[in-house]
Amino acid sequence: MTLKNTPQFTASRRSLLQAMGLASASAVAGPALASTMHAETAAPSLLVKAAATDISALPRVKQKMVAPPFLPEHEQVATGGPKIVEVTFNIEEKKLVIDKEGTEVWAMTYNGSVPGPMIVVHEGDYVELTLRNLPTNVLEHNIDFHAATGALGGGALTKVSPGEQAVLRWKAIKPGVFVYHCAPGDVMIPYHVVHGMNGAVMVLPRDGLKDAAGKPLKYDRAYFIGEQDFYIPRDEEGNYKKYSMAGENLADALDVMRKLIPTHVVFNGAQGALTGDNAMKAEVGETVLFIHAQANRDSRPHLIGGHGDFVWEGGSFNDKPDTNLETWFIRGGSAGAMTYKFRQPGIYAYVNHNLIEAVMLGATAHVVVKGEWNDDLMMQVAKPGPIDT
Amino acid sequence: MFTLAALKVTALAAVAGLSGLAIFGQFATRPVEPEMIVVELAGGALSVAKYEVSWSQWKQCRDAGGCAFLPDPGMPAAGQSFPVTGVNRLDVEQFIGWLNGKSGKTYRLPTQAEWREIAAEIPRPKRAKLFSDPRLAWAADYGSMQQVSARIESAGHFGAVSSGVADLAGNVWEWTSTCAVAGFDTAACPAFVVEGAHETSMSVFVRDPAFGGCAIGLPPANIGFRLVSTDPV
Repeated sequence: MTLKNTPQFTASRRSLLQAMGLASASAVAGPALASTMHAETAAPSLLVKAAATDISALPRVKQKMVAPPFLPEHEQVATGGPKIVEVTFNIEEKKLVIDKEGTEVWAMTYNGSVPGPMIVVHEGDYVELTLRNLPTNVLEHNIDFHAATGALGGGALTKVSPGEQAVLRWKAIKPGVFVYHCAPGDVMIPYHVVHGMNGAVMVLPRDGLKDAAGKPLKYDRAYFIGEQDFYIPRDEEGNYKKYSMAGENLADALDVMRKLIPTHVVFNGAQGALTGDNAMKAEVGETVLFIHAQANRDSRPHLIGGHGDFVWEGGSFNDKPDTNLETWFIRGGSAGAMTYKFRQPGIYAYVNHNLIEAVMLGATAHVVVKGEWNDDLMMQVAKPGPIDT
Repeated sequence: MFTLAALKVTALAAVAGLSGLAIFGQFATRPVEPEMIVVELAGGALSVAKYEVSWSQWKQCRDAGGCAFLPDPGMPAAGQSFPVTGVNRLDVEQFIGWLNGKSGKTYRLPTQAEWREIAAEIPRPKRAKLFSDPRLAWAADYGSMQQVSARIESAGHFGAVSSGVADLAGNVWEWTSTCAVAGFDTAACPAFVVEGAHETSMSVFVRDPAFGGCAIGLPPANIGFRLVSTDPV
């Protein structure tokens, strides 16, 4: 499904939304703000005034965004001093199928995926984001980084209408994992977030992760699990409704949302997105870092058959990690991190251990682990059979 | 097992109560019997329903007081015949009891072996075992099951084998009469084999398989059923 990209089309859709009272007043202010951001020569001089670092002297690197559950290439321990890490997000409103029944949602995405891509930097680095609202879109968007400081996490400086872009630079001063999300104002804030418009940033300490004693912790692989709650309206017969464009379901969706009971709770944007051929992979002996983000609602990750060896439940890498947890808590609007060294091969289920949400709403992922079985850790002493008499 | 038997009795009592309300319906309703195709199996001829039992057939049972439960129709195209899904093994026993009582026939579910023979032409995708170590047998078949759309389609949508029996390769898994647990007779069986694109088994109480997933593997997309009979044609 593609929207026809013509000025008339976009304009008429936008005016339709404004007429419906869906577009906030800032949609009008948006272009003016964006045009100052477009003046790229003027904007940095304003920022330099407040900055403690000589920005112009810092090396610049581009970070190539990858779709979750994968992370962009990154160093665990930083080499050299702070950098400016340039990233680009293309905001795309697109129809996604979120379950086997063919239920559709007009997702609002950063770079086309739910969740949006993970950004990885080190403490002291700068993230310089170019945020583009594609001209095929119909809604205004922005971004609020929980890792950033000031201006509503950048939300006040990044409102872009379809066809506009803005550039935001912020300094990563808090090491940890943090949610980012769209926050365009009023009911549009939760509306955009529960239509997929969220992701996470990882700010690593420059010398990497450490246990409570300060001993370095390395990981062999890393996965980013974004948990998404969806609230899909139904028709009179109970079937999930379908819509022709983003924003069209607003009134219906708000009715479902205000009851606080999601119709779907999924990982990586759809039921089964991290199972079967798309299951996560690991080997016995490997340490895997799992980052779990939930931008809206509480969750409780659990690895069936394993543990959380080291868990930064609240997401701050300045805090000492908890150890050997069975289940950990992710507050709505936050991300947490966990490492686990796999000690047995087989299949592990990574779930939200509200098992109703895991099994009936979709919050189940799998990890396929190769390697040698360890009889010392577990052994089937007798197969199921009749009870001894 | 006592619990299960007691529950079945309770369920039947509920139906008896319902049928009392529907005496009038007993005169009005002639059950729509399935279209049967004679298939030669190794053990002899078997009449096999061309299609899975439809939602409208089930509705007839419900309206006549023979079935206590009426599932959601799912997402059918208007005016078309589509399979009933979301019915558990106890619901199915009610339907068959009602249909046989009304028609004087002896419809039943196929055994797993019969189902496999009827569907023998359909290739069952084989994938290498994920693990060869017998200690990992519990995980070895992971990934061998194909994710299919669960959208309910009209009868015949998924095509037929050469005998004419349709929709065996569709997205509706079918209850069988084979107990999934060794050593149980049918009356006390806690879980039956369910056949479709891959073999699985379900507790007699399950109407809708898991949506999100299992601890390992993939649940069937939908569960319905098909009737067979050895009545003379």
